[in-house]
Amino acid sequence: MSSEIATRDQQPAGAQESALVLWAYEARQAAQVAMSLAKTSFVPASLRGKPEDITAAILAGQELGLQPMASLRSMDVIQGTPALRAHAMRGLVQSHGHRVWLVEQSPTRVVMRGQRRSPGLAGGYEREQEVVWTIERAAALGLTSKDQWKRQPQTMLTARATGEICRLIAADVLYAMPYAAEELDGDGPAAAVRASGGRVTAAEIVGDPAPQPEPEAAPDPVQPEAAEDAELDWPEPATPGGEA
Amino acid sequence: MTAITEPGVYELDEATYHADPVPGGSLSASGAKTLLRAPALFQWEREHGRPPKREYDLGHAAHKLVLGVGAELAIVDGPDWRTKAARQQRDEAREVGRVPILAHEHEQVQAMAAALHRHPVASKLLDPGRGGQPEQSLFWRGAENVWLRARLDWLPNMDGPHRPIIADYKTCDSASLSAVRRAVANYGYYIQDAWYRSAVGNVLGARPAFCFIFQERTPPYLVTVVQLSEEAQAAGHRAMSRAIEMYRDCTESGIWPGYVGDYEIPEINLPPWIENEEYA
Repeated sequence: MSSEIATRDQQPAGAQESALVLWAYEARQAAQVAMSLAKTSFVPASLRGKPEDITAAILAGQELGLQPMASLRSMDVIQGTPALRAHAMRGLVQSHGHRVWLVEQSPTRVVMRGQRRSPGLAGGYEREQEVVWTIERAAALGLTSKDQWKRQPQTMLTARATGEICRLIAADVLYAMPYAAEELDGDGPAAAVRASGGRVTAAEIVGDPAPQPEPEAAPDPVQPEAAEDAELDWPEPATPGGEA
Repeated sequence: MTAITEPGVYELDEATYHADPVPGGSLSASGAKTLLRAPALFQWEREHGRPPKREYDLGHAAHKLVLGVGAELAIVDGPDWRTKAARQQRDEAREVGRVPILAHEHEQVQAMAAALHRHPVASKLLDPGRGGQPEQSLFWRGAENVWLRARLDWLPNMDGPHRPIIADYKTCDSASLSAVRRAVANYGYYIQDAWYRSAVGNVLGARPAFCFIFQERTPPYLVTVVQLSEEAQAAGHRAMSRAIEMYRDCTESGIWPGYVGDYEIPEINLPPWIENEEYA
């Protein structure tokens, strides 16, 4: 009796194991690469000095067909979850042949449209989908009090619209990372986790008054997005999928 | 009857806050913790209130003396609650919203407050001189457009010369680091950490730090001040998101399941320790 069960159980387990062993091998390789990259300026500030996060970004990017260095340029790790930046998400969706374009863009309103590629249909595309992100919509979600939203509402609205239109037309492409880094970040958690000024020390509490901590004590996840303003400006999408 | 329809910071008494003054309902950190255990438990507590517990009374009394706010204490003479007279006084106190506490417990709580005020860091964190307000209620719309609420022991001043640090005071049996770590996990304090940071972030647009102050209930009333690691904070945010999604789904469907769905029959395995037993 026991041998029959053992035989039945072992076959699928064995098949799974080989794929898993291969993946684990690749993961170890990625971890090694991450160790050597962690301190370099090729890694965005939000990932610097964090080889585990870099490994996760490389592995997650691989599932999407991105080369390791492209992954690092395209991703942030928000609360330990790798997320594509909006421009990379758009590029990835476009690299699969789907259409995404900007219709209207201002600091209070962004309209984007997209079309899913469907070779079987006349014209080759499904019907157009449209998403509208207004500052009122963002305010209703409590987003507009965030630094990033105050500083660059148009960029943040565009990032939100990008995430939404990409999910609407090409959820299958994004299944591993359905939310753009800007969307996760805009909700505050990651900002709250990393940008609270770092560890509290007794000296700053007992000393009077406490000095504000140095910025480098806690990497500010806001910086990478601020630096990529130009990249987010329409219409030059990166096409990370194409580099693969 | 107070009705909160705008996000903001409100000065409310405890009973009003716990009765949930948001029309249509809002979710608090402790509600989220119950919801994550089982939505049906959350729904029950929302409709029936939370049963009073002895530990809560002592904790309330300590809060009252340490923070100088909260429900009035009702000091009951007697060595314990076993006499009928003592229990009657206890019930009467609760009915009028006061916190019943035995005379010797009152002395104990006073000694705790004194010990806390002697602690160099804890006393500063709760020092009104640093700017800040005790027992503030915050209301905001979170993810999924769900109304959320939080009641902070200590809301720091966001614009002062000091970095704002949210401080939350807990009484406990042991303030050792290992016991504190277990408490943070078992009682979901990491969810509270995420919740309060989100509250302050959304309502005041600030990103404060957060410290927990743990104090033992027995002499010499040792105090341990801790802060959560980035990983623990991230776990809190994930749990918070999950709770908000569950709340939205249950509210929309009107279905508040127990530990598993009524029509689910999950298969369970033995815990690992028994698999290793020889006779298993």
